Amino acid sequence: MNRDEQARLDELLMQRVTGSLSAPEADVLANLMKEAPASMMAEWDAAAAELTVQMVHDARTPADALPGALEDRIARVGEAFVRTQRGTKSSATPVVPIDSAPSSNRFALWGGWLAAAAILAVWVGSSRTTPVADVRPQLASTGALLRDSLLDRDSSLVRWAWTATADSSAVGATGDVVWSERAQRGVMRIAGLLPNGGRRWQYQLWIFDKSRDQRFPVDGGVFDIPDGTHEVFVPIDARVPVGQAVMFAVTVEPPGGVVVSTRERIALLAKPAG
Amino acid sequence: MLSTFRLHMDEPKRASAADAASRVHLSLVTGSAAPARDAAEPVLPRIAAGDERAVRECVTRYGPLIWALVRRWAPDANDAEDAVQDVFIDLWRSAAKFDSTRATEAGWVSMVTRRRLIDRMRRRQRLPEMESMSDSFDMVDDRALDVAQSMDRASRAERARAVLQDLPSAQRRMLELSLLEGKTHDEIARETDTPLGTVKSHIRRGLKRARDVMAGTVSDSDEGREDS
Repeated sequence: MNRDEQARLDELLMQRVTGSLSAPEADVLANLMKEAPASMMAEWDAAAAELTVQMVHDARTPADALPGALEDRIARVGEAFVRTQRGTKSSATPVVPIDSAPSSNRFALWGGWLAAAAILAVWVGSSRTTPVADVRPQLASTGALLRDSLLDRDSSLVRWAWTATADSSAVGATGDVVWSERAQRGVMRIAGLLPNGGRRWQYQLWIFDKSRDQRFPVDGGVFDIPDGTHEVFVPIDARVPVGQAVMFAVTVEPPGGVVVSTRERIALLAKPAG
Repeated sequence: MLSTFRLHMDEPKRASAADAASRVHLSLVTGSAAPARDAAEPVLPRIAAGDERAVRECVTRYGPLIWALVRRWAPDANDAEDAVQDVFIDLWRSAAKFDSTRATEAGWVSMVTRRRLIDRMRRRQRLPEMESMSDSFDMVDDRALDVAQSMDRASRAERARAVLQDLPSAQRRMLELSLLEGKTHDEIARETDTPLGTVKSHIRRGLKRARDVMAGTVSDSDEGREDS
């Protein structure tokens, strides 16, 4: 690596650590890192982390004490999480019927998101003073609990009913979608959509953002409707931030989903009434 | 998109010196006087092992650190409450990925916190999120590390403090605005009436200095550091 490349690497590592790295710059950084010691990135992360601890110490004020009620709620959620993890370590069965897009990383993201969703559901339970001991059964309906939690926590979220199209997969399908712009989270409730057993196809959610080109809606992820299920709750994990959602659409796509849909088979639509 | 977010490896601890300095470091986090020796033991591995009692210890120990950062980064009180909740969820989820031989626990917690806050900031700015730390956080391959350059937790904390105190005031101020207060480079440039390029240069130099000292590639007393 020559001097200019080293300088560029330092610049990009700094931008990464401070959260100002753009996607193209991330690609450049990834290429430069191929020629750099593997520990370089970790060293910059660690340096920023340790400096931050010292800065907090130097700048701390009495207002930086975590409020007692909040501290207690956080601890209760954490305790519930620990119990949940103990109870689910031996289970390999997905807790809600969704699946991943082609890459394993995407599966990990969905899986991780679901774990967070489970905790969010528990969190709401805690704030309602519901006993948190019985966590395991809640996992079976994580999506439903997340939906409830969003409805409880965010009065500004959208809640639109699905309209089934004439597509053969959607005859008689019903349900709704809730979406929190603030939390950038949502849940689809869907009943009566044709199961895609055997993965001959997959369903894919698209979120139409008012500020984006409507030809390119935000990919909301692919999901399955397992055989024998009537109603499912599918958490929404938008790939990029959504400013103002104006419509949701579920399309039928090849297994793994697509980057840009041809929209040949639209199963469900949800948009504001009127 | 980058797929790694890793910590540097430390060699096994020299127990007595590390414990003593860890107590100092811990007091920085909790705000308490030097706590008992046991309290300095990492708590995240216990959480990962399923010890419910460790959860409250963790919240007590690191709540002030996390809350101090969240308060400064969040645009309002509601967002702060959401953010601190998100951070702790990340901590519970990724507790098993922390390795006490490779970083200070407080440093690791601050890394998790800043990572989540950066993601939230980028969402507000409608930028793509960075890679998900909790899902991709892996320890660096042992073979890639020069053990001779590693140091124990206490030494790392002490060196960070020394680096910070030794930085030129402009570098330190801009690092504080970025790391502690979550300001973007543009915001720092406006707030300090400094050209954007100079802001980036100050932050880069300060971080590089800290990285070099903590990675052992330059001592904290070396001359010839990049001053502004």
